[in-house]
Amino acid sequence: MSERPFAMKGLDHVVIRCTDVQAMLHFYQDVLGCTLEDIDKGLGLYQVRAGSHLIDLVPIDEPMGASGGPAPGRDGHNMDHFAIQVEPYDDNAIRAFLSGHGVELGSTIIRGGAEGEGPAIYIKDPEGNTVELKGPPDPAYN
Amino acid sequence: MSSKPPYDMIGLDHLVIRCKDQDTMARFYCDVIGGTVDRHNEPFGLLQIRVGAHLVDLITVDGKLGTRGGAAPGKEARNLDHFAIQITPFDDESLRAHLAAHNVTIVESGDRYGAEGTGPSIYFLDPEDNIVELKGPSDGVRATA
Repeated sequence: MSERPFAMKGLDHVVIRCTDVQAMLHFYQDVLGCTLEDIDKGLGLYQVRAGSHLIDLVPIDEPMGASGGPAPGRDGHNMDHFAIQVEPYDDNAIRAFLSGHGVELGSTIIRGGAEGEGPAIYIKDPEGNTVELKGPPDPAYN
Repeated sequence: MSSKPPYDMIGLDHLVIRCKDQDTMARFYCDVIGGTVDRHNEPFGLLQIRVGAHLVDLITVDGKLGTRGGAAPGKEARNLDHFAIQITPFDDESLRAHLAAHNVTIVESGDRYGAEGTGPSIYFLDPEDNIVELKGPSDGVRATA
């Protein structure tokens, strides 16, 4: 079999299927701090930037989202969670900020990510997707 | 309430896919996509595959982490439409030959807008029907929303 004709650089974007795109846009921009990148009304594709990468939202009642069938529920989803690297990671400040926005907070734990072990907090977006905010690797754990 | 988050976003770190047959999925993400096994935490049913600077984690739906998410994913009602991995170079002909050699079905291809502008993309299914996009180098021109 032939050699693989490419090398991988890393992730580019994730595309999340959603029901209420306005509530999701509010959360990802006003709470998490993403910026609006582009909206393609014809496709039903709403893109926000998270640092170097994109988080795309596709409402299930618009063309792109409709291809995946009914709305995701608590059962049967294919993505457990995704993680965004944030810097600095000040647990108290992050918790206070997110609590102020009424975000459901999980525990803070030390987790291995793409760059090593570091602090992470797990939260829920408005439609129940788990989002991990991941701090820089901590030398104490690596 | 402070109006701005107390951090800057750097970018994505990893995403976690729920799967039924972790071995088959791992073979696909390593042999076809070109990932490498970063870590395997068997008690948690967690296998972490490195894709360049980031990770794609595979968790078994019947493992310690996976059972929290309920039933196995089916063809419908998914929360992840697809995800994209940046690759270089993007040679359409050799990519198609590579995927064909692994019996991978291409579902779509064309120029698409991604995190670094517009560039070539090819979309196909992994063994459990998640849509994976491989994205070639982009033009660096940002959309203005």
